[in-house]
Amino acid sequence: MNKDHAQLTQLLQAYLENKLDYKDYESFFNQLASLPEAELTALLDAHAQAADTSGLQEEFINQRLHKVQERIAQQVEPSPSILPQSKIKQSRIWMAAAAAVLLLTIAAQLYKKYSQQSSDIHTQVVLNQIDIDPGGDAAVLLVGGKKMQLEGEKAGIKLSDSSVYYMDGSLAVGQHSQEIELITPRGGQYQLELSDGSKVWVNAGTHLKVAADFNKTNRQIELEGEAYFEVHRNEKLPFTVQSGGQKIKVLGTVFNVNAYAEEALTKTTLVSGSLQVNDLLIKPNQQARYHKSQQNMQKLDIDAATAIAWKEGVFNFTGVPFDECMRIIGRWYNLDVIYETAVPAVDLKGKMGRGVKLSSFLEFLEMNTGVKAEIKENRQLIIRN
Amino acid sequence: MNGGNLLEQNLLLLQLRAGQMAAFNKLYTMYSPRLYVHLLKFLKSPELVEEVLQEVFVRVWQNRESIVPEKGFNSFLYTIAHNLAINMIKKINRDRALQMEVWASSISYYLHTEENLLDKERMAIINQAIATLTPKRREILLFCKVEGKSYKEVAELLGISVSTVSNQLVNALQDIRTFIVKNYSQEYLLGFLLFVHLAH
Repeated sequence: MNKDHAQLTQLLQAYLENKLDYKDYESFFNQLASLPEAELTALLDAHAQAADTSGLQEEFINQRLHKVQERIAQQVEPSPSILPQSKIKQSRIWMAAAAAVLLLTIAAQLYKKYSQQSSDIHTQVVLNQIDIDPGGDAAVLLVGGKKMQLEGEKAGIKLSDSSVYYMDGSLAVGQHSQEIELITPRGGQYQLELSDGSKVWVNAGTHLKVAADFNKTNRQIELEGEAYFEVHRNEKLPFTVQSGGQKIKVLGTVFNVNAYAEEALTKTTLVSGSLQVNDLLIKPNQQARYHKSQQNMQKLDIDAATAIAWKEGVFNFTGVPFDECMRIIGRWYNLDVIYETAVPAVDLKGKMGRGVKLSSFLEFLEMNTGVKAEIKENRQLIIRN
Repeated sequence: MNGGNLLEQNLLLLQLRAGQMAAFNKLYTMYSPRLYVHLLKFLKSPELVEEVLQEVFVRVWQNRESIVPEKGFNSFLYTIAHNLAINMIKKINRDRALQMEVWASSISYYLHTEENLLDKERMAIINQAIATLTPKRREILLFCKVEGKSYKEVAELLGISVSTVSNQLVNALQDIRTFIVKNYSQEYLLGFLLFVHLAH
Protein backbone atom coordinates (compact mmCIF):
# COMPACT_ATOMS: atom_id res chain seq x y z
CA MET A 1 0.00 0.00 0.00
CA ASN A 2 2.81 2.34 0.96
CA LYS A 3 4.81 1.41 -2.11
CA ASP A 4 1.84 2.14 -4.38
CA HIS A 5 1.28 5.44 -2.66
CA ALA A 6 4.89 6.46 -3.13
CA GLN A 7 4.80 5.50 -6.79
CA LEU A 8 1.63 7.49 -7.41
CA THR A 9 3.11 10.53 -5.69
CA GLN A 10 6.12 10.31 -8.00
CA LEU A 11 3.98 9.96 -11.11
CA LEU A 12 1.79 12.83 -9.99
CA GLN A 13 4.76 15.09 -9.44
CA ALA A 14 6.11 14.32 -12.90
CA TYR A 15 2.66 14.82 -14.40
CA LEU A 16 2.22 18.21 -12.78
CA GLU A 17 5.62 19.30 -14.08
CA ASN A 18 4.72 18.10 -17.58
CA LYS A 19 7.54 15.59 -17.41
CA LEU A 20 5.54 12.38 -17.32
CA ASP A 21 6.33 9.90 -20.07
CA TYR A 22 3.41 9.04 -22.28
CA LYS A 23 4.00 5.37 -21.64
CA ASP A 24 3.20 5.99 -17.96
CA TYR A 25 -0.05 7.83 -18.64
CA GLU A 26 -2.29 4.78 -18.61
CA SER A 27 -0.95 3.51 -15.32
CA PHE A 28 -0.98 6.99 -13.80
CA PHE A 29 -4.59 7.76 -14.65
CA ASN A 30 -5.61 4.28 -13.63
CA GLN A 31 -4.13 4.72 -10.17
CA LEU A 32 -5.47 8.24 -9.87
CA ALA A 33 -9.00 7.32 -10.88
CA SER A 34 -9.02 4.34 -8.51
CA LEU A 35 -8.35 6.44 -5.46
CA PRO A 36 -11.25 6.82 -3.08
CA GLU A 37 -13.03 10.11 -3.82
CA ALA A 38 -12.06 11.62 -0.48
CA GLU A 39 -8.38 10.98 -1.14
CA LEU A 40 -8.53 12.31 -4.66
CA THR A 41 -10.29 15.44 -3.45
CA ALA A 42 -7.62 15.90 -0.80
CA LEU A 43 -4.96 15.57 -3.49
CA LEU A 44 -6.62 18.24 -5.61
CA ASP A 45 -6.92 20.50 -2.56
CA ALA A 46 -3.30 19.98 -1.62
CA HIS A 47 -2.08 21.20 -4.97
CA ALA A 48 -4.25 24.29 -5.05
CA GLN A 49 -1.20 26.37 -4.24
CA ALA A 50 1.26 24.63 -6.57
CA ALA A 51 2.89 26.75 -9.23
CA ASP A 52 1.35 27.13 -12.63
CA THR A 53 3.47 25.21 -15.12
CA SER A 54 1.36 25.76 -18.18
CA GLY A 55 3.15 28.89 -19.26
CA LEU A 56 -0.09 30.09 -20.82
CA GLN A 57 -0.23 33.85 -21.03
CA GLU A 58 -2.68 35.71 -18.86
CA GLU A 59 -4.09 37.27 -22.00
CA PHE A 60 -4.84 33.87 -23.50
CA ILE A 61 -6.59 32.74 -20.34
CA ASN A 62 -8.63 35.94 -20.10
CA GLN A 63 -9.85 35.53 -23.67
CA ARG A 64 -10.83 31.93 -22.99
CA LEU A 65 -12.59 32.91 -19.77
CA HIS A 66 -14.62 35.41 -21.75
CA LYS A 67 -15.74 32.72 -24.19
CA VAL A 68 -16.75 30.42 -21.36
CA GLN A 69 -18.70 33.22 -19.71
CA GLU A 70 -20.74 33.69 -22.87
CA ARG A 71 -21.60 30.02 -22.95
CA ILE A 72 -22.55 30.04 -19.28
CA ALA A 73 -24.82 33.02 -19.85
CA GLN A 74 -26.66 31.12 -22.56
CA GLN A 75 -27.29 28.26 -20.20
CA VAL A 76 -28.38 30.07 -17.07
CA GLU A 77 -30.81 32.73 -18.30
CA PRO A 78 -33.07 33.19 -15.30
CA SER A 79 -36.84 32.94 -15.70
CA PRO A 80 -38.49 36.28 -14.90
CA SER A 81 -41.10 34.68 -12.68
CA ILE A 82 -39.08 32.48 -10.38
CA LEU A 83 -38.40 35.08 -7.72
CA PRO A 84 -41.37 36.61 -5.94
CA GLN A 85 -39.45 39.85 -5.60
CA SER A 86 -38.36 39.90 -9.24
CA LYS A 87 -38.29 43.36 -10.67
CA ILE A 88 -39.49 43.38 -14.26
CA LYS A 89 -37.21 46.33 -15.05
CA GLN A 90 -34.12 44.44 -13.93
CA SER A 91 -35.05 41.33 -15.88
CA ARG A 92 -35.77 43.40 -19.01
CA ILE A 93 -32.27 44.88 -18.87
CA TRP A 94 -30.93 41.40 -18.31
CA MET A 95 -32.87 40.10 -21.31
CA ALA A 96 -31.38 42.79 -23.51
CA ALA A 97 -27.92 41.95 -22.21
CA ALA A 98 -28.52 38.25 -22.79
CA ALA A 99 -29.67 38.96 -26.32
CA ALA A 100 -26.48 40.91 -26.86
CA VAL A 101 -24.44 38.05 -25.47
CA LEU A 102 -26.21 35.61 -27.76
CA LEU A 103 -25.58 37.84 -30.77
CA LEU A 104 -21.93 38.16 -29.74
CA THR A 105 -21.69 34.40 -29.54
CA ILE A 106 -23.21 34.05 -32.98
CA ALA A 107 -20.86 36.71 -34.32
CA ALA A 108 -17.93 34.91 -32.72
CA GLN A 109 -19.01 31.64 -34.31
CA LEU A 110 -19.19 33.35 -37.67
CA TYR A 111 -15.66 34.69 -37.10
CA LYS A 112 -14.45 31.20 -36.38
CA LYS A 113 -16.08 29.85 -39.50
CA TYR A 114 -14.72 32.43 -41.89
CA SER A 115 -11.48 33.53 -40.30
CA GLN A 116 -9.44 31.04 -42.25
CA GLN A 117 -10.44 32.55 -45.58
CA SER A 118 -10.10 36.14 -44.72
CA SER A 119 -8.43 37.79 -41.82
CA ASP A 120 -10.46 40.94 -41.97
CA ILE A 121 -14.11 40.20 -41.55
CA HIS A 122 -16.83 42.58 -40.64
CA THR A 123 -19.70 40.52 -39.50
CA GLN A 124 -22.98 42.24 -39.70
CA VAL A 125 -25.81 40.76 -37.77
CA VAL A 126 -28.94 42.02 -39.39
CA LEU A 127 -32.03 42.34 -37.26
CA ASN A 128 -35.47 42.13 -38.74
CA GLN A 129 -37.31 45.39 -38.90
CA ILE A 130 -40.19 43.78 -37.07
CA ASP A 131 -39.17 42.11 -33.84
CA ILE A 132 -41.14 40.42 -31.10
CA ASP A 133 -40.52 40.49 -27.37
CA PRO A 134 -40.39 37.25 -25.46
CA GLY A 135 -43.10 36.22 -23.02
CA GLY A 136 -43.29 37.34 -19.42
CA ASP A 137 -45.41 36.95 -16.30
CA ALA A 138 -49.08 37.20 -17.10
CA ALA A 139 -52.22 35.36 -16.07
CA VAL A 140 -55.92 35.59 -15.50
CA LEU A 141 -57.73 34.15 -12.51
CA LEU A 142 -61.26 32.78 -12.63
CA VAL A 143 -62.94 32.45 -9.27
CA GLY A 144 -66.44 31.03 -9.37
CA GLY A 145 -66.72 32.25 -12.95
CA LYS A 146 -65.58 35.79 -12.20
CA LYS A 147 -62.55 36.85 -14.23
CA MET A 148 -59.66 38.84 -12.82
CA GLN A 149 -56.46 39.98 -14.52
CA LEU A 150 -53.50 39.19 -12.28
CA GLU A 151 -50.65 41.65 -11.90
CA GLY A 152 -47.69 40.52 -13.98
CA GLU A 153 -45.16 42.26 -11.77
CA LYS A 154 -46.15 40.19 -8.81
CA ALA A 155 -45.30 37.03 -10.72
CA GLY A 156 -47.16 34.56 -8.52
CA ILE A 157 -50.08 33.91 -6.23
CA LYS A 158 -50.60 31.92 -3.09
CA LEU A 159 -53.86 30.19 -2.26
CA SER A 160 -54.87 29.98 1.35
CA ASP A 161 -57.96 28.12 2.51
CA SER A 162 -60.22 31.02 1.71
CA SER A 163 -58.31 33.80 -0.01
CA VAL A 164 -55.87 34.42 -2.79
CA TYR A 165 -52.74 36.44 -2.08
CA TYR A 166 -49.91 37.59 -4.29
CA MET A 167 -46.46 36.22 -3.46
CA ASP A 168 -45.58 39.55 -1.89
CA GLY A 169 -48.42 39.15 0.60
CA SER A 170 -50.91 41.61 -0.86
CA LEU A 171 -54.49 40.45 -1.26
CA ALA A 172 -55.77 39.47 -4.68
CA VAL A 173 -59.16 37.95 -3.97
CA GLY A 174 -60.99 37.85 -0.66
CA GLN A 175 -63.35 35.17 0.63
CA HIS A 176 -64.15 32.37 -1.70
CA SER A 177 -64.93 28.72 -1.49
CA GLN A 178 -65.17 27.86 -5.10
CA GLU A 179 -63.17 26.31 -7.85
CA ILE A 180 -60.22 28.44 -8.95
CA GLU A 181 -58.83 28.48 -12.46
CA LEU A 182 -55.51 30.03 -13.49
CA ILE A 183 -55.17 30.81 -17.17
CA THR A 184 -51.96 31.95 -18.84
CA PRO A 185 -52.16 33.47 -22.30
CA ARG A 186 -49.72 32.69 -25.09
CA GLY A 187 -46.59 34.60 -24.10
CA GLY A 188 -47.44 34.34 -20.43
CA GLN A 189 -46.29 32.33 -17.46
CA TYR A 190 -47.10 32.45 -13.75
CA GLN A 191 -46.35 30.84 -10.44
CA LEU A 192 -48.84 29.40 -8.00
CA GLU A 193 -48.64 28.10 -4.46
CA LEU A 194 -51.49 25.87 -3.41
CA SER A 195 -53.07 25.82 0.03
CA ASP A 196 -51.22 22.62 0.93
CA GLY A 197 -47.86 24.25 0.27
CA SER A 198 -47.34 22.61 -3.12
CA LYS A 199 -45.77 24.87 -5.73
CA VAL A 200 -46.67 25.05 -9.39
CA TRP A 201 -44.93 26.89 -12.25
CA VAL A 202 -47.34 27.42 -15.14
CA ASN A 203 -46.08 27.80 -18.70
CA ALA A 204 -47.67 29.72 -21.60
CA GLY A 205 -51.09 28.92 -22.99
CA THR A 206 -52.22 26.88 -20.00
CA HIS A 207 -55.42 26.33 -18.03
CA LEU A 208 -55.06 25.02 -14.49
CA LYS A 209 -58.08 24.26 -12.30
CA VAL A 210 -57.96 23.78 -8.55
CA ALA A 211 -60.94 21.91 -7.07
CA ALA A 212 -63.18 23.82 -4.67
CA ASP A 213 -62.46 21.44 -1.79
CA PHE A 214 -58.74 21.24 -2.46
CA ASN A 215 -56.77 20.22 0.62
CA LYS A 216 -60.00 19.32 2.40
CA THR A 217 -61.31 16.14 0.87
CA ASN A 218 -58.91 15.83 -2.02
CA ARG A 219 -56.05 17.47 -3.87
CA GLN A 220 -57.45 17.53 -7.37
CA ILE A 221 -55.99 19.54 -10.21
CA GLU A 222 -57.06 19.72 -13.84
CA LEU A 223 -54.46 20.78 -16.37
CA GLU A 224 -54.43 21.66 -20.05
CA GLY A 225 -51.06 23.06 -21.14
CA GLU A 226 -47.81 22.75 -19.23
CA ALA A 227 -46.87 23.00 -15.58
CA TYR A 228 -44.08 21.98 -13.27
CA PHE A 229 -45.12 20.71 -9.86
CA GLU A 230 -43.39 20.43 -6.49
CA VAL A 231 -45.93 18.51 -4.47
CA HIS A 232 -45.97 18.59 -0.72
CA ARG A 233 -46.05 15.16 0.79
CA ASN A 234 -49.39 14.12 2.30
CA GLU A 235 -50.17 10.44 2.34
CA LYS A 236 -53.70 11.05 3.57
CA LEU A 237 -54.65 13.16 0.56
CA PRO A 238 -53.21 11.95 -2.74
CA PHE A 239 -52.53 14.71 -5.24
CA THR A 240 -54.08 14.09 -8.65
CA VAL A 241 -53.64 15.87 -11.97
CA GLN A 242 -56.16 15.19 -14.71
CA SER A 243 -55.25 16.05 -18.32
CA GLY A 244 -57.71 14.77 -20.89
CA GLY A 245 -57.57 10.98 -20.82
CA GLN A 246 -54.65 10.93 -18.41
CA LYS A 247 -54.72 10.90 -14.64
CA ILE A 248 -51.63 11.31 -12.49
CA LYS A 249 -51.55 10.24 -8.89
CA VAL A 250 -48.85 11.52 -6.60
CA LEU A 251 -47.91 11.41 -2.91
CA GLY A 252 -45.03 13.87 -2.64
CA THR A 253 -43.04 14.52 -5.74
CA VAL A 254 -41.43 16.89 -8.28
CA PHE A 255 -42.61 16.47 -11.86
CA ASN A 256 -43.51 18.22 -15.12
CA VAL A 257 -46.68 17.74 -17.15
CA ASN A 258 -46.85 18.78 -20.78
CA ALA A 259 -50.48 18.41 -21.95
CA TYR A 260 -51.25 20.93 -24.67
CA ALA A 261 -54.47 20.45 -26.62
CA GLU A 262 -52.68 20.89 -29.96
CA GLU A 263 -50.02 18.24 -29.17
CA ALA A 264 -50.71 14.59 -29.96
CA LEU A 265 -48.80 13.40 -26.91
CA THR A 266 -49.18 14.24 -23.24
CA LYS A 267 -45.76 13.98 -21.58
CA THR A 268 -45.23 13.58 -17.86
CA THR A 269 -41.64 13.69 -16.60
CA LEU A 270 -40.63 12.74 -13.08
CA VAL A 271 -37.79 14.62 -11.38
CA SER A 272 -37.96 13.05 -7.94
CA GLY A 273 -40.30 10.90 -5.88
CA SER A 274 -42.69 8.48 -7.52
CA LEU A 275 -45.64 8.89 -9.80
CA GLN A 276 -48.53 6.90 -11.15
CA VAL A 277 -49.82 7.92 -14.57
CA ASN A 278 -53.05 6.05 -15.28
CA ASP A 279 -51.78 2.49 -14.66
CA LEU A 280 -48.13 3.19 -15.24
CA LEU A 281 -45.65 3.72 -12.42
CA ILE A 282 -42.66 5.87 -13.26
CA LYS A 283 -39.40 6.61 -11.48
CA PRO A 284 -37.18 9.71 -11.50
CA ASN A 285 -35.73 10.54 -14.94
CA GLN A 286 -38.52 8.66 -16.63
CA GLN A 287 -41.26 10.05 -18.79
CA ALA A 288 -44.75 8.73 -19.40
CA ARG A 289 -46.01 9.49 -22.90
CA TYR A 290 -49.72 9.26 -23.47
CA HIS A 291 -50.89 9.18 -27.06
CA LYS A 292 -54.33 10.77 -26.86
CA SER A 293 -55.99 9.43 -29.97
CA GLN A 294 -54.49 5.95 -29.76
CA GLN A 295 -55.08 5.98 -26.01
CA ASN A 296 -51.86 4.20 -25.23
CA MET A 297 -49.17 4.93 -22.67
CA GLN A 298 -45.40 4.45 -23.07
CA LYS A 299 -42.53 4.80 -20.63
CA LEU A 300 -39.17 6.34 -21.59
CA ASP A 301 -35.87 6.98 -19.86
CA ILE A 302 -35.05 10.63 -20.17
CA ASP A 303 -32.95 13.34 -18.58
CA ALA A 304 -35.60 15.16 -16.56
CA ALA A 305 -33.57 18.34 -16.74
CA THR A 306 -34.39 18.73 -20.42
CA ALA A 307 -38.13 18.55 -19.73
CA ILE A 308 -38.04 21.16 -16.97
CA ALA A 309 -35.54 23.54 -18.54
CA TRP A 310 -38.39 25.97 -19.37
CA LYS A 311 -38.94 26.59 -15.69
CA GLU A 312 -35.31 27.69 -15.34
CA GLY A 313 -35.83 30.14 -18.19
CA VAL A 314 -34.21 28.01 -20.88
CA PHE A 315 -35.50 26.32 -24.02
CA ASN A 316 -33.93 22.89 -24.39
CA PHE A 317 -34.56 21.72 -27.92
CA THR A 318 -32.51 18.53 -27.79
CA GLY A 319 -34.58 15.56 -28.89
CA VAL A 320 -37.63 17.66 -29.71
CA PRO A 321 -38.99 17.35 -33.28
CA PHE A 322 -38.76 20.53 -35.35
CA ASP A 323 -42.47 21.20 -35.61
CA GLU A 324 -42.91 20.81 -31.87
CA CYS A 325 -40.03 23.27 -31.28
CA MET A 326 -41.85 25.79 -33.45
CA ARG A 327 -45.11 25.27 -31.56
CA ILE A 328 -43.21 25.93 -28.30
CA ILE A 329 -41.84 29.13 -29.82
CA GLY A 330 -45.31 30.04 -31.06
CA ARG A 331 -46.78 29.73 -27.57
CA TRP A 332 -44.03 31.72 -25.89
CA TYR A 333 -43.84 34.55 -28.42
CA ASN A 334 -47.56 34.41 -29.17
CA LEU A 335 -47.24 33.90 -32.92
CA ASP A 336 -48.67 31.70 -35.62
CA VAL A 337 -46.02 29.60 -37.31
CA ILE A 338 -46.64 29.04 -41.00
CA TYR A 339 -44.56 26.79 -43.27
CA GLU A 340 -43.94 28.07 -46.79
CA THR A 341 -43.50 24.54 -48.10
CA ALA A 342 -43.10 21.52 -45.85
CA VAL A 343 -41.79 21.18 -42.33
CA PRO A 344 -37.98 21.17 -42.72
CA ALA A 345 -36.42 17.77 -42.08
CA VAL A 346 -33.90 19.11 -39.59
CA ASP A 347 -33.15 18.73 -35.92
CA LEU A 348 -32.87 21.79 -33.78
CA LYS A 349 -30.50 20.95 -30.96
CA GLY A 350 -29.12 22.91 -28.07
CA LYS A 351 -30.38 25.40 -25.55
CA MET A 352 -31.41 29.02 -25.61
CA GLY A 353 -32.59 31.50 -23.05
CA ARG A 354 -36.31 32.27 -22.97
CA GLY A 355 -35.73 35.95 -22.33
CA VAL A 356 -34.38 36.81 -25.79
CA LYS A 357 -36.21 38.62 -28.56
CA LEU A 358 -37.53 36.56 -31.42
CA SER A 359 -34.86 37.83 -33.80
CA SER A 360 -32.18 36.26 -31.59
CA PHE A 361 -33.98 32.95 -31.74
CA LEU A 362 -34.18 33.21 -35.53
CA GLU A 363 -30.41 33.79 -35.72
CA PHE A 364 -29.96 30.70 -33.55
CA LEU A 365 -32.31 28.76 -35.83
CA GLU A 366 -30.47 29.73 -39.00
CA MET A 367 -27.04 29.06 -37.51
CA ASN A 368 -27.97 25.62 -36.32
CA THR A 369 -30.19 24.33 -39.11
CA GLY A 370 -29.89 26.68 -42.06
CA VAL A 371 -33.62 27.32 -41.87
CA LYS A 372 -34.63 30.92 -42.53
CA ALA A 373 -37.75 32.47 -41.09
CA GLU A 374 -39.40 35.82 -41.48
CA ILE A 375 -41.53 37.78 -39.06
CA LYS A 376 -44.62 39.29 -40.67
CA GLU A 377 -47.32 41.62 -39.38
CA ASN A 378 -50.23 40.03 -37.53
CA ARG A 379 -47.73 38.07 -35.46
CA GLN A 380 -46.95 35.53 -38.16
CA LEU A 381 -43.71 33.66 -38.54
CA ILE A 382 -43.10 32.27 -42.02
CA ILE A 383 -40.67 29.36 -42.24
CA ARG A 384 -38.90 29.34 -45.57
CA ASN A 385 -36.93 26.29 -46.63
CA MET B 1 -8.19 39.46 3.01
CA ASN B 2 -9.15 42.70 4.69
CA GLY B 3 -12.48 43.53 6.26
CA GLY B 4 -13.68 45.61 3.32
CA ASN B 5 -13.31 42.72 0.92
CA LEU B 6 -15.12 40.38 3.24
CA LEU B 7 -18.13 42.67 3.40
CA GLU B 8 -18.18 43.06 -0.35
CA GLN B 9 -18.00 39.33 -0.80
CA ASN B 10 -20.76 38.73 1.69
CA LEU B 11 -22.99 41.13 -0.17
CA LEU B 12 -22.20 39.52 -3.50
CA LEU B 13 -23.08 36.12 -2.12
CA LEU B 14 -26.37 37.35 -0.74
CA GLN B 15 -27.16 38.89 -4.09
CA LEU B 16 -26.17 35.71 -5.89
CA ARG B 17 -28.39 33.71 -3.62
CA ALA B 18 -31.24 36.06 -4.46
CA GLY B 19 -30.63 35.38 -8.14
CA GLN B 20 -28.92 38.58 -9.22
CA MET B 21 -27.01 37.93 -12.42
CA ALA B 22 -24.70 40.90 -11.90
CA ALA B 23 -23.38 39.35 -8.67
CA PHE B 24 -22.93 36.00 -10.43
CA ASN B 25 -20.92 37.66 -13.18
CA LYS B 26 -18.79 39.59 -10.71
CA LEU B 27 -17.96 36.41 -8.79
CA TYR B 28 -17.11 34.71 -12.08
CA THR B 29 -14.69 37.50 -12.94
CA MET B 30 -13.13 37.30 -9.48
CA TYR B 31 -12.78 33.55 -9.11
CA SER B 32 -12.57 31.96 -12.54
CA PRO B 33 -8.96 32.91 -13.42
CA ARG B 34 -7.51 31.11 -10.43
CA LEU B 35 -9.83 28.16 -10.95
CA TYR B 36 -8.86 27.95 -14.62
CA VAL B 37 -5.20 27.71 -13.75
CA HIS B 38 -5.89 25.20 -11.00
CA LEU B 39 -7.86 22.93 -13.32
CA LEU B 40 -5.23 23.31 -16.00
CA LYS B 41 -2.63 21.76 -13.71
CA PHE B 42 -4.64 18.57 -13.59
CA LEU B 43 -6.40 18.50 -16.93
CA LYS B 44 -3.73 20.12 -19.13
CA SER B 45 -6.02 20.68 -22.11
CA PRO B 46 -7.74 24.10 -22.32
CA GLU B 47 -10.76 22.46 -23.96
CA LEU B 48 -11.29 20.07 -21.07
CA VAL B 49 -10.70 22.79 -18.52
CA GLU B 50 -13.25 25.05 -20.20
CA GLU B 51 -15.81 22.26 -20.37
CA VAL B 52 -15.45 21.70 -16.63
CA LEU B 53 -15.33 25.41 -15.82
CA GLN B 54 -18.56 26.04 -17.69
CA GLU B 55 -20.35 23.26 -15.87
CA VAL B 56 -18.94 24.42 -12.51
CA PHE B 57 -20.42 27.88 -12.81
CA VAL B 58 -23.69 26.63 -14.25
CA ARG B 59 -24.00 24.48 -11.14
CA VAL B 60 -22.99 27.38 -8.92
CA TRP B 61 -25.93 29.27 -10.37
CA GLN B 62 -28.32 26.34 -10.12
CA ASN B 63 -27.36 25.67 -6.50
CA ARG B 64 -27.07 29.30 -5.49
CA GLU B 65 -29.79 28.99 -2.89
CA SER B 66 -27.68 26.64 -0.83
CA ILE B 67 -24.81 29.11 -0.44
CA VAL B 68 -24.00 30.09 3.13
CA PRO B 69 -22.38 33.53 2.85
CA GLU B 70 -20.63 33.20 6.20
CA LYS B 71 -18.68 30.25 4.87
CA GLY B 72 -17.36 32.27 1.93
CA PHE B 73 -17.35 31.36 -1.72
CA ASN B 74 -14.14 29.33 -2.01
CA SER B 75 -15.27 26.15 -0.33
CA PHE B 76 -18.58 26.19 -2.21
CA LEU B 77 -16.87 26.75 -5.53
CA TYR B 78 -14.05 24.27 -5.07
CA THR B 79 -16.36 21.54 -3.77
CA ILE B 80 -18.26 21.68 -7.04
CA ALA B 81 -15.07 22.13 -9.07
CA HIS B 82 -13.28 19.17 -7.54
CA ASN B 83 -16.33 16.99 -7.96
CA LEU B 84 -16.45 17.76 -11.66
CA ALA B 85 -12.66 17.54 -12.02
CA ILE B 86 -12.76 14.05 -10.55
CA ASN B 87 -15.47 13.07 -13.04
CA MET B 88 -13.27 14.36 -15.82
CA ILE B 89 -10.23 12.48 -14.51
CA LYS B 90 -12.28 9.29 -14.50
CA LYS B 91 -13.41 10.06 -18.02
CA ILE B 92 -9.81 10.55 -19.14
CA ASN B 93 -8.93 7.26 -17.50
CA ARG B 94 -11.54 5.42 -19.53
CA ASP B 95 -10.59 7.05 -22.81
CA ARG B 96 -7.20 6.39 -24.37
CA ALA B 97 -7.71 9.01 -27.05
CA LEU B 98 -8.42 11.60 -24.38
CA GLN B 99 -5.20 10.63 -22.60
CA MET B 100 -3.34 11.34 -25.81
CA GLU B 101 -5.00 14.73 -26.03
CA VAL B 102 -3.94 15.53 -22.49
CA TRP B 103 -0.37 14.47 -23.17
CA ALA B 104 -0.20 16.43 -26.40
CA SER B 105 -1.52 19.46 -24.50
CA SER B 106 1.22 19.23 -21.93
CA ILE B 107 3.80 19.21 -24.71
CA SER B 108 2.46 22.28 -26.42
CA TYR B 109 3.10 24.42 -23.36
CA TYR B 110 6.77 24.43 -24.11
CA LEU B 111 6.57 26.02 -27.51
CA HIS B 112 7.53 29.38 -26.17
CA THR B 113 10.09 28.51 -23.57
CA GLU B 114 13.69 27.75 -24.12
CA GLU B 115 14.33 24.66 -22.08
CA ASN B 116 17.64 22.96 -22.03
CA LEU B 117 16.69 20.35 -24.47
CA LEU B 118 18.76 17.34 -25.41
CA ASP B 119 16.29 15.55 -27.59
CA LYS B 120 16.46 16.47 -31.24
CA GLU B 121 13.70 14.06 -31.98
CA ARG B 122 11.07 16.02 -30.12
CA MET B 123 12.33 19.25 -31.61
CA ALA B 124 11.86 17.78 -35.04
CA ILE B 125 8.31 16.70 -34.27
CA ILE B 126 7.27 20.14 -33.13
CA ASN B 127 8.87 21.79 -36.11
CA GLN B 128 7.13 19.36 -38.43
CA ALA B 129 3.83 20.12 -36.75
CA ILE B 130 4.35 23.85 -37.13
CA ALA B 131 5.23 23.39 -40.78
CA THR B 132 1.84 21.84 -41.45
CA LEU B 133 -0.07 24.80 -40.09
CA THR B 134 -1.83 27.19 -42.43
CA PRO B 135 0.28 30.29 -43.08
CA LYS B 136 -2.03 32.52 -41.06
CA ARG B 137 -1.99 30.24 -38.05
CA ARG B 138 1.73 29.67 -38.21
CA GLU B 139 2.31 33.38 -38.34
CA ILE B 140 0.09 34.03 -35.33
CA LEU B 141 1.60 31.15 -33.36
CA LEU B 142 5.11 32.41 -33.94
CA PHE B 143 4.23 36.02 -33.16
CA CYS B 144 2.46 35.15 -29.93
CA LYS B 145 4.24 32.17 -28.54
CA VAL B 146 7.78 32.56 -29.79
CA GLU B 147 8.23 36.29 -30.23
CA GLY B 148 6.01 36.93 -27.23
CA LYS B 149 4.01 39.73 -28.85
CA SER B 150 0.77 40.72 -27.17
CA TYR B 151 -2.54 39.97 -28.86
CA LYS B 152 -3.11 43.65 -29.41
CA GLU B 153 0.24 44.03 -31.16
CA VAL B 154 -0.42 41.05 -33.40
CA ALA B 155 -3.94 42.27 -34.15
CA GLU B 156 -2.62 45.66 -35.22
CA LEU B 157 0.20 44.10 -37.21
CA LEU B 158 -2.10 41.85 -39.19
CA GLY B 159 -5.12 44.13 -39.35
CA ILE B 160 -7.44 41.72 -37.59
CA SER B 161 -9.30 41.73 -34.30
CA VAL B 162 -7.91 40.55 -30.98
CA SER B 163 -10.66 37.97 -30.87
CA THR B 164 -9.49 36.53 -34.20
CA VAL B 165 -5.92 36.35 -32.90
CA SER B 166 -7.10 34.42 -29.87
CA ASN B 167 -9.23 32.03 -31.93
CA GLN B 168 -6.47 31.39 -34.43
CA LEU B 169 -4.02 30.69 -31.65
CA VAL B 170 -6.36 28.13 -30.12
CA ASN B 171 -6.77 26.55 -33.54
CA ALA B 172 -3.01 26.48 -34.12
CA LEU B 173 -2.39 24.76 -30.79
CA GLN B 174 -5.14 22.27 -31.56
CA ASP B 175 -3.63 21.56 -34.96
CA ILE B 176 -0.25 20.90 -33.38
CA ARG B 177 -1.74 18.55 -30.84
CA THR B 178 -3.70 16.74 -33.55
CA PHE B 179 -0.53 16.37 -35.63
CA ILE B 180 1.38 14.94 -32.69
CA VAL B 181 -1.40 12.56 -31.76
CA LYS B 182 -1.84 11.39 -35.35
CA ASN B 183 1.81 10.81 -36.05
CA TYR B 184 3.38 9.85 -32.77
CA SER B 185 1.22 7.43 -30.89
CA GLN B 186 3.97 4.88 -30.69
CA GLU B 187 5.03 3.71 -27.27
CA TYR B 188 8.72 4.48 -27.78
CA LEU B 189 8.20 8.17 -27.49
CA LEU B 190 9.69 9.14 -24.16
CA GLY B 191 9.68 12.35 -22.28
CA PHE B 192 8.76 15.64 -23.76
CA LEU B 193 10.75 18.61 -22.77
CA LEU B 194 10.75 20.49 -25.99
CA PHE B 195 12.61 23.34 -27.38
CA VAL B 196 11.61 25.23 -30.42
CA HIS B 197 14.30 26.87 -32.42
CA LEU B 198 13.26 29.26 -35.08
CA ALA B 199 15.86 29.09 -37.79
CA HIS B 200 15.80 32.01 -40.16
